[in-house]
Amino acid sequence: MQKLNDVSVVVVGGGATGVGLARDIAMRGVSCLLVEQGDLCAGATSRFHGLLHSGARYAVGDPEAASECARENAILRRIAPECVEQTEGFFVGHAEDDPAWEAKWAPACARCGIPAVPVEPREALGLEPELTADVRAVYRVPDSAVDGFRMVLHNAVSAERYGARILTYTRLTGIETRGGRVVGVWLERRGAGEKCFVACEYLVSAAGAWAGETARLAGLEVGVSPDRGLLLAFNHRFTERVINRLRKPADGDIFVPHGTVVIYGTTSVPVRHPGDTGVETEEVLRLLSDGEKLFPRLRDYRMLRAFAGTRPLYAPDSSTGRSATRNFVIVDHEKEGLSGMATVTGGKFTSFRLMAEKTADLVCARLGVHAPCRTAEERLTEAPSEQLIERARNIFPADGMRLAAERQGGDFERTVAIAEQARWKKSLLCECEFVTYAEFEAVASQSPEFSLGDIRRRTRMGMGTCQGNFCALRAGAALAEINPASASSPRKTLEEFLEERWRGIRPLLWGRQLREVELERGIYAALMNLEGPQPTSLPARGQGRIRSIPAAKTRDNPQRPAGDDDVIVVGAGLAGITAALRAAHRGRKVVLLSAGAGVLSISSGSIDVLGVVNNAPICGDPFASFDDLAPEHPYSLVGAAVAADAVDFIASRVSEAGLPLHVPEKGEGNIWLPTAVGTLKPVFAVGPGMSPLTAASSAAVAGIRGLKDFSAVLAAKGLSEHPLFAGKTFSPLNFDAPRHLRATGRDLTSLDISRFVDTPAGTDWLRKELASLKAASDTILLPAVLGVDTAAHVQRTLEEKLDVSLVECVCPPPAVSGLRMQKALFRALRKAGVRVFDNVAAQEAIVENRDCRGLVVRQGGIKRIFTAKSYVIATGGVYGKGISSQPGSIFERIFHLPVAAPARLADWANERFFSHKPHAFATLGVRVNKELQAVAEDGTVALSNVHFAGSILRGYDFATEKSGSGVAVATGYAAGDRV
Amino acid sequence: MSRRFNPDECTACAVCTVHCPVAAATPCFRGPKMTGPAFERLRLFGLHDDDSVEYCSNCKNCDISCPSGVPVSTFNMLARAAYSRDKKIPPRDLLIGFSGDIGKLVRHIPAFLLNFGMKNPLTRLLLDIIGLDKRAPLPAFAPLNQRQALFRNTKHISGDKGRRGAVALFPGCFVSYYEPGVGLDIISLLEKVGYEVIVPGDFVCCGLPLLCAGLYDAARERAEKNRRTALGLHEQGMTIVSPCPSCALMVGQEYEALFPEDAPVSVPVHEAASFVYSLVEEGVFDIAGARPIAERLAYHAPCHLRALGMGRPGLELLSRMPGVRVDDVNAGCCGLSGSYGMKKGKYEIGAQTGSGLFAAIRESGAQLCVSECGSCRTSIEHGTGLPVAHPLTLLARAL
Repeated sequence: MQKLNDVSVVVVGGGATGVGLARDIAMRGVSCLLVEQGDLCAGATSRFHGLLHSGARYAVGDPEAASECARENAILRRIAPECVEQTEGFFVGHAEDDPAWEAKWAPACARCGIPAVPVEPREALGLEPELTADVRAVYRVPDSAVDGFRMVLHNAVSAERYGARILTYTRLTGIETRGGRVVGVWLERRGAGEKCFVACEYLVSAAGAWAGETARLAGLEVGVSPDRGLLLAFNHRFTERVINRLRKPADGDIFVPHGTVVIYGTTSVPVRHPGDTGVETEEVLRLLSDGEKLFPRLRDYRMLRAFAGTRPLYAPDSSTGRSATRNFVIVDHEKEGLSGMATVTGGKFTSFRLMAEKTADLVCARLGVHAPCRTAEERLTEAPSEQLIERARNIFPADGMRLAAERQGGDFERTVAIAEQARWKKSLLCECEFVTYAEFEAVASQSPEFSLGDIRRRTRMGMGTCQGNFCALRAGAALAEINPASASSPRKTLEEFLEERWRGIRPLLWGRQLREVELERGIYAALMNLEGPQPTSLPARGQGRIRSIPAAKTRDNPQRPAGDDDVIVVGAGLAGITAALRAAHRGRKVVLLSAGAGVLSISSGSIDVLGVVNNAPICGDPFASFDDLAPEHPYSLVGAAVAADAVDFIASRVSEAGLPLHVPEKGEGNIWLPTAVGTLKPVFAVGPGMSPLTAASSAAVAGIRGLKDFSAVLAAKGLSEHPLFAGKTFSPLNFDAPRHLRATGRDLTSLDISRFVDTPAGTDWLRKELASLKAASDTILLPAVLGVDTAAHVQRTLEEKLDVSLVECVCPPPAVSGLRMQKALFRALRKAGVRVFDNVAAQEAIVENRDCRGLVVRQGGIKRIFTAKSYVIATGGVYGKGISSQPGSIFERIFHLPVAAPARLADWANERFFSHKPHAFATLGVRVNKELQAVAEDGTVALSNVHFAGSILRGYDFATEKSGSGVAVATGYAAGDRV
Repeated sequence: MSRRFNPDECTACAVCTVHCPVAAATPCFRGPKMTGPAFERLRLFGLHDDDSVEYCSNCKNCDISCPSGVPVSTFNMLARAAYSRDKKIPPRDLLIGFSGDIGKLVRHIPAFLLNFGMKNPLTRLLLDIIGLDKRAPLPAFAPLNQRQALFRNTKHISGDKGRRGAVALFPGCFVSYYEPGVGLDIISLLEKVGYEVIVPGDFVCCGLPLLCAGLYDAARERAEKNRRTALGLHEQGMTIVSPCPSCALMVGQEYEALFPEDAPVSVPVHEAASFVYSLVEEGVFDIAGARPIAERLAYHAPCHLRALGMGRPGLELLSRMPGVRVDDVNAGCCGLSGSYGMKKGKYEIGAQTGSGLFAAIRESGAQLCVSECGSCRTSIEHGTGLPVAHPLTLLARAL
């Protein structure tokens, strides 16, 4: 650890109080060092509901705190307008709430100088239509929403401008005293190993809930009891105002709209350790029941995360929970015989500036400094200049500019300058929260040590709807490009980030959030194989041969007249389509109903069969490994021979439909495809552009500037680090996007490039660009850009002309290879005479004597019944909505078949997101027999003429096994054989 | 606008963007996921000056393809309304938006005058200047007598209802002014089955063209009026049927989401071919005796018909007619999407979108194309040169 200069004051704790204190002290001209064990705001400052109190909540119980809040609220609005959203607030009395409280509360507010103005409930409902109609009274108060992250970051920037030094990821490990006075501190930086001494005259502990731990280093006791509060973040802003419940303060009283989200909380539970921020699902459900009183549709809104913070309640008398005071205290340890040290603790975010002011007053008095506090007058950051706004307006859409300008405050210029240099960097890295590549880079380049989590806190990237599903990979790539020398592996960077996101999602695994998680697993576990075992060896050059699947030669079957259908297949994913094609092949008259296009178009476009069993990679014949699977696994039910026939069947149909597929030669094993993160992913049947990497491979990796979702640097870095390629080189080479697609209204995806490459001009463009790379190797890896409709032709043409092999990496959605497969399959359906009706959602079934007599579709009050002799249900699992999951109720949607699930929601998932073993939720599904009929636990057949196929089946986890499309094809085929 | 309608179902998966015909045709459109649910979260936060939503054609392929059931296009239409609220609506959009009112205004003027007035090169040039691309197809007004014939039946003709009951026809602007023959064919079919059919004069434009032009309040007024009328008819026991899939979708399914502040009254509106097909399925209507229309037909499912979520009843109906071989070309949007493809700057997008469909129809070898939607018929005729008919016109002629 580098030598640090001596300072006058050391502040411990990078929350609001600590950073505010550092700024205050620095502004008074005193040298100051702030140390924080994690990142800034890693503690309670980022784990509260972001309410800038008007004081009204404390008016009855703690008038002093209330008046203080009222004053500080006004100050913070003035000095940090970009951190405060001036929303105003309502106090809403529910019909059930005790009117006596209101009678006490309103006069108390008046006494504290807090304007609480009655609002007609009708008017209030007009302003906040989502509120319950069961309202007794509503008052308007000057509550606001405050961005805790931003407030601290802007404070930190300002403090540093005044000369303060801030060290994050630095732990205080010892306090050096001499003769009853503090003379210095021992510090340890993360990863540095050695300790470093900094001499100082004064030490302030602003460690929040960690204040007790800090004081103990000096042999002192500070009576702080950590108190955990649970918070829920919702996906959309269902209230414009802060909504407080007008009752004696209790759990679940406060809703705060916060940018794009609403944060709702909280609870008050004494805990032993300040780091104890775990969340139980049951606690979430309890909080929701409370909140439903004010927002009756609360359970319908999607939650993004559940998280907890620990309040530092100052309780020397060991009072806890809601009885403990919310006031702050400054403990001058001189009274206990140690001079030169104070602890500031307790309090609330709203009064952080005041806490800092009072503490700085004490510190300065002890140091003999007489400069007055100026933090109540001076703005945190200057508003961006007219000139800067004009520059930004030339690049960013107005809304995006406003968001970035507010987030980055005084640093906004850097963002603008980066986008001016490379216009494609106006593209959105995080689409949910509107974070551009430029803003990301402006933050990431501040410190080579920043993790994705650090950048997330500074930009909000990854904090919206998809919780990192789409931006994690882009962010990992951007980070690798900004800090190419960084030692951290892309895989680790992404894993760490996604695991952190997972912590907040895990307590909410049902319904919509579970669907998002399934999508995330689809992308990072199945497509990218980020966590799965990698092969230990690859075929040598000359081995790993693949053969093309001969195209089927079927005749065109015109669609037959409607009526008297043999089979209705529900679901147009791979399982449903395979079932329909198989049944049609057997002469059945088939109708295919689909609700939504499923995920086929964003899948890998290859067919995996089985890539991993018991956490071991399968490099050989995947069908031979079926013996290792559990008896209830769908593969065990249909058998290896049928599964192999099924892959052959579907591959020959796809090849016939113009998308030539390849499979391993007899005796060869799984094909391992390179991915966009530089891992290898096991598959069995592959389409154009997908070729196995052999042990001899070394390659150039071609990337396109501005193309989201693929970075040559990231892929090359991942592959270079791969143990299989030790000593091989993968050099990243970039070229520009075609002119007409550069910096347009839409951000560039591989789909856009592919559509262009489908045209002769586009093919030619790609050929020229690849030729100009002058790659020294015989293989070029590239994103999926070889065309949508003409990929095989483009690949052949370019490989011949350039004398090089072209290999597409597996890319995240919206990738192209899945779309190729989907289009080919629909051509095959048409050829087979299957009638396809899209957007038809079968909602329920008519069942008599265990026989399905029809599927009911209702739209706009009109009912239609679709009937056939037999049915194949391939509606998908949780993601496809074949299975509905709510706490305590999980069932198959059309027939309401029960789905067995662990009783405790906590048992639904493993502790870690990437955990090398199936998550329980992923294996849930319909129990079937060998005929793929739904059966009860005792084996009784529930429905005689209905067969189930694909991910609606229980007993396997597509993501850890890498078996999704294989199971779909095998069971779809088997179902098509049984109707 | 109410926040009842929220973006929570969206998982950001991008399937809608993959299936969006406009995104495929131009890089200027951010794509449905972004302008729809992703921006919706920002709009709720008070940000809404994204003009990319202007590119949405409201064809609804995003809704149709979404694996999560998100009504993406409805977000886009509401966003466009919010975006246009304080802006001046250009004359072109007023002309398109109020085309229904214009049609009503000129209902007594002979077709040759109207069509000469609309389609002569000078008018086309003027229209081009205000933003209606001169290359775009414009539908032609139907002969005066047909237009008047359709609205002959505004009241109950006989004192008692038909033996099967009464149907109120919501003809929609396209059929009312450009193709009343389709409405008359439907009336004759339904009368054959034993329905009494009326064409209530109280129905007005469904409001969709207004909504697409950003004229939210005008659309809402129409919706109010239609809802009241529909409810009255419904309470009298009448079935409401529309030959236009877009009108059926708008009145029967979308009013509630678009205008949630108004009393939510859901009155079922049957798309005509689907209604007739349900009669065939129930065995009420026997079409086995239809004279073979010995052509090979190419069938195009209009996007808004698919959006209705009832399958392809018109196709099924045709397939049951003796001697018909009908091909479901299934090649996506025709590109016109109401009036989208007529607009300057959008014409190319529409033409490119439709080119796949036109090629598929030509390749099918059919001499006649069939489609339920008037706008699709105009577009396909323009794009392929083939005649295009409503399926019920074919059925009426064959019986």
